[in-house]
Amino acid sequence: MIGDILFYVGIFFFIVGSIGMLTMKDFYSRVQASGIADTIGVFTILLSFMIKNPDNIAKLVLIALLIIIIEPVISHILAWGASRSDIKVGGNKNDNL
Amino acid sequence: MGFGKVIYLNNYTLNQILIIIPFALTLIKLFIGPNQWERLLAYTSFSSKITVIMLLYIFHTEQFFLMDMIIIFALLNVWGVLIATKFLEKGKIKK
Repeated sequence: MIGDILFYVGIFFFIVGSIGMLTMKDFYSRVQASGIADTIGVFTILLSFMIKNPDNIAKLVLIALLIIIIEPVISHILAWGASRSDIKVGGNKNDNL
Repeated sequence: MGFGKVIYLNNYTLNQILIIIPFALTLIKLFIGPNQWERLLAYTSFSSKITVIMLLYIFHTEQFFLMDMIIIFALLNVWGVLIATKFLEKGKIKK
């Protein structure tokens, strides 16, 4: 019961992050929407699998720790590289989205 | 099942259909992104969703040794994004 609810909450976070990645008007806003929503979504789905299958909890905890370290690092790498490139904060003039 | 013409969706099929929606939205972003940074962002979001597809397949077919593959996939994901960022920053990889 709680496992199913956590799984659908994770899919809801995925959908919200994808919509935010499509509709925000700045690159850094899109990085924030996508990164945070994906981190919480994967972590919530891993929690649901931990509750459903307690026999395989060791590798799931390892994957959860890895995900919760790696996903913010990826977001930070993307924002760092884009800030050293020619991506402006208020959005470039050529962007129509 | 005695429900006549009612189409029976088990939990695995329903979860796969539900997770198609963020995949489709991310693929739209991957195709229409104005520059290469947005495509890299869509790629990272896509690869974090592939983890969930892998978990669904592993726990449906009960092949639990395949969870090692997710660890390798996450580590190689960070490495690939780091190399692509170093390449896109100046147009070449500095030594």
